[in-house]
Formats: sequence, C-alpha cells, structure tokens
Amino acid sequence: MCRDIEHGGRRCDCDTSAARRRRRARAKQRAASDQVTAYIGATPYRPESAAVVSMSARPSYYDSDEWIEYDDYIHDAADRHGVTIVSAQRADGLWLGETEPAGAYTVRADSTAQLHAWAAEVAGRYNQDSVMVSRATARGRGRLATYGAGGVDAEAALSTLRAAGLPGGRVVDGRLQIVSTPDAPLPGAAHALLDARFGHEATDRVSTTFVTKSLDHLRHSPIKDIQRIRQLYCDHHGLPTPRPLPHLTEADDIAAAQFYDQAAHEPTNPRVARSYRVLRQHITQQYNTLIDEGYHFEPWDETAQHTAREREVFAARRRAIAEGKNPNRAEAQVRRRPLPEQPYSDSAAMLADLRKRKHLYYFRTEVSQGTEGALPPDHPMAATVTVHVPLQRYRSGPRKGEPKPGQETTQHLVANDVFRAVHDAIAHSNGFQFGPRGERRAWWTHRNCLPSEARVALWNETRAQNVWTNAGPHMQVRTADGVTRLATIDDPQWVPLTQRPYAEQKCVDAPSWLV
Amino acid sequence: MAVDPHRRYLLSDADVDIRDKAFVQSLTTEQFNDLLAQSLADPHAAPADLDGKPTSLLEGDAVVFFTPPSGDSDSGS
Repeated sequence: MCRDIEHGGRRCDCDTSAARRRRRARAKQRAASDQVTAYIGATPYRPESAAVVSMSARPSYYDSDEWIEYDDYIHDAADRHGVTIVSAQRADGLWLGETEPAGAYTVRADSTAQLHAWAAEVAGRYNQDSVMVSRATARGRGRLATYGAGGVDAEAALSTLRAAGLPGGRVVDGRLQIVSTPDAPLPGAAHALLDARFGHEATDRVSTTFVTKSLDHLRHSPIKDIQRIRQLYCDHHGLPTPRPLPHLTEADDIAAAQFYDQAAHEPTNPRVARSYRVLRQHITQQYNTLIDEGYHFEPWDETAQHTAREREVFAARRRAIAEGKNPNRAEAQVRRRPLPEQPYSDSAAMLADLRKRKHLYYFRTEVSQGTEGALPPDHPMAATVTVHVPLQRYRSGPRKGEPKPGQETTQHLVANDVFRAVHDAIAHSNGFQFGPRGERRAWWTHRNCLPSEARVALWNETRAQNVWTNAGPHMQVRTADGVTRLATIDDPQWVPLTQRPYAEQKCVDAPSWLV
Repeated sequence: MAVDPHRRYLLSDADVDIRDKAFVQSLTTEQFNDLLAQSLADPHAAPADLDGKPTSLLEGDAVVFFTPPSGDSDSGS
C-alpha cells in the first residue's frame, strides 16, 4: 500500500517489486522521452516527430491535468447554475474540419436560462466563441440523430464526415451523433447513406442553440493578491513546490468517507494531537499574514448583518444619486427586504467581498458539550489562539469588550474560527466554490501551503467532513454485483446538495494514503 | 449490386440505391465519402425525415458538447 496520496492513494502499489520494475522502466522511458522532446524542439518536421511520440505508451488525454481541470470546472459551474449533470461521457468531436477529444454531457435544469448561463460561463472561461446546447423537447425543430449501435470507430467515422465536408458530429460511446437544425438540415440522401453504412439507431427531437460566451467566470477567477501571499508564505516556511491535485475518483471519495465514518474520535492520539498543534500554529501565522496584508475577518452575527445592510443602503443611495433618481426611495427599497441569514448568496459573492474589500465574514464557532452543531471542548480546534488585530479596527475605535486603541495588538480567537476564515481566504480564494469539487480543490490548495505534519488535521477539518457529506453512507448505492457507487439523480437514494447532512466533527488518525 | 472499387458512383446514377445496405457497406471508404459529399453538396436536397425512437433523453434534458481549450485560456493556478 502506498504511503502517499500524491502517488494515487490507496490504488497505488508502488512498494511492490513489480512497481519498482515499472519505475525503472518509466525512468528509462522518461530519459528517452526527453530525447524525443529535444528532437521535436530541434526540428520543424512535426508529422515525423508526432509519429515518434505516438509510439510511446502515453496515458489517455482524459488523465491529463488539462482535462481534469476542464471537467472539474464544468461540474463546478453546473453546481453554481443549478444544473445537474446526469452523465458525462468522453467523446470524439468534429467541428469545422477539426477533430478533437471532447466531453458530451447530458444535463437537467429547471430552466433553459440556467443551462445557457452555465454553458456561456464555461465558454467564456476557456475563451470559446460558443457552445452547442441541444435540449430534448417534443416541440423541438431540430433532430439529434444517432447512428451505429456502439460499434462505430470514432477516427474512421469522423474522417468520413470531414472528408465529405459535414461541419460537425461526434462519436460518443461508439455511436455517431449528428445534429440537424432547421438552418442546417441534414439532407435526406446523407441520412440514407449514414443509415445504410452505420445503422440509424435513434432520433431525439431537440431545440438547439449555440450559446455565446459570457464573462460570468470572472466572478470566480482566482484572487491574484492572495496567490501572491500564499507563495510568499510557502517560500518563507520552506514548503515544497505545490503539487497538482491527484486524480481522485468516486471510489477514492467513497473510501475516504467510509474511513471517516468508521474511525474513532481520537483527540489525544499523539499523531493526531501533534498534527492539530502544527495546524493551529500555521493557521495562526497565515491569519496574521493576511491581517498584516490588509485583510480583515468579521464574525457573521446580528451586528454584521446591520453593518452589511448600512453598506447596502449607502451604495443604493449613491447609485440613485448618480442616476438622477430619488435616493430616499432607493434606501426604502433596500430596507424593505428582510435581513439575510447568510453573509453570502454564493461563493462568487464571498470572492467579491474578499477581492474588492479584503473582507470576509465567517460563522462564529459555538464551543459547548452536548449541543448539536457545537464543537466539543475537548476538540483541538476548540482551543484559543492569539492573532493580530487589524490595524483598521484601531482607527475606527474598539467595539464593546475589545481592547482600547494602542493597548493591545492581539486578540484571542477560537482556533476553529481562525481556521474557517483562513481556509476560505487562502484556499477558496482560488475560485473554488463550496460544492464537492470546489471543496476538494480547496483542501489540496491549503494542503500545499502547510507542512506535512499538519495534513492529518487538515484532512479531518476539510476533506473528511466534505467527503462524508457528499459520499457518505447516505449517498452510497450497493449494486447487484457488490460494488459500492455514489447515487445519481435517477437513484431513489439521491440527496440534493443542499439537503445532505453535515459530518460529525471528529479528529481521527487518518493514514497517509488518505491525507 | 456488386461494387466496382474503381468506379466513381454518382447519386444520380440510375443503378445506385443508397438505401441498399449491402451496396453501401461494400463501398470503399473513398467511394462512401464521395457519395456523402455529393449528398451534402446539393443545395436543393430535401431534408432528412428524421423520425424514430428516441434515446434515453427525457423531455427537458439537454446534451451539451464541450471541447477543451487549445491552450489560449486564462487558466488560474
């Protein structure tokens, strides 16, 4: 069993003799590959170089960081827009004469507007002019024609379409699909030929739209200033170069959730206690670094809600004056709305607050024994830590119970409060939302700026709790052949994202292959 | 009808039946591509009567086809 998740976690068998042999072979292959790279760099004859490269046993494109990041973004954006991805399949696509690896996503949404907003955001994020969305509807004037019963050779079929001058098509799961629209209908003779050659399998009535890109993705773009702070922190503490997130699958999520579900709460276990101690030290320093860089964190409570409301009123009045409207009426409109229960409507709102105002709300931790949702006093994150007080607060004067200006430069906060604020600022500021994929990426980003001793604690506080919520027993389905998989939207066990239970706050001694 | 691999078939040829599966499947790749290109090139061609059983798509479901970037995106770190 591998001891390091960076090698692929529980599926890695790098300690076996076979794996050692493979490593040696890979080293030789890498050396050869370097030579090939040098050769490609030195010669303009790309076809010859490409042929040499294609002979090596390269992993699939879908295992590459580029594809994983792309697919993750598509899923994250779907969560943001209320779009449920029913299935995601690898596809070979032909578009305007170019064949490319691609993804075919079957999705469900409450409205076409949600679908289009999602597709537009992805197109904008990757600077693509448009994305083709075909929605199945009995009134649809377009047709999605499917040929072949799983036996279509993608390369040959797309070559045929390209040679014949058909502008687009795709092969998914061994089936050739072509969209015929009223503006660009598939001629009857072409259909007859394709039917005779591949076999016409099915036709869906669709309404097809080419959705053009939007700038929505900018609301989720990483905060460069915090990227800089993160890098400085890593350099200052001699932390290794950040490693990319390994390709964690559904099976990894289930394994992690099962482990956390069954493991005992061991706050006094020496390995666990030490990890939490190191985590507390580092989050304190990270909090202080952010404070010293001008960021400020505020607990979300009644006062904060009123402060936020006053800010909103001020902005509304200013906007009304600029537009020549009545500011009193604008203020009244704002005050009529009930005060929000949550500080941010979504992760984009949090990012905007952090990006524009260097400010972040966090929920204050309740520490008490036996209260549901409260942190037990024996939990390592219930301890208090001493952190810097923002300079800005001195200028505006202390709040009730806080030290007077010039007297104190530090304050005591519950470690969990500090952690939640720091984690959101340091990790989620990279554009990662609060869904399953965003949380996974946030965990890894934060992991990259902590020493290895803190990993067990960080895993407990981030990855374990999130993976339990999204892949815990309530989301698992046991198939007839004994395999456990995650429920999909079509399973009766499916629990919508917003209704999934929170994980118990435990600190468990997680093995290295998980953390 | 037996396929002659050296002949160029035209859609307008009287002996060409594009609904004849045996004939179409016997065509060489080049011959098939050529016929398909002819069918697409006709500006007055009647659109296909595409009806048939649907796939597993439900009313309201959508299929969206994403092609990854070719390296010109502003990807964050």
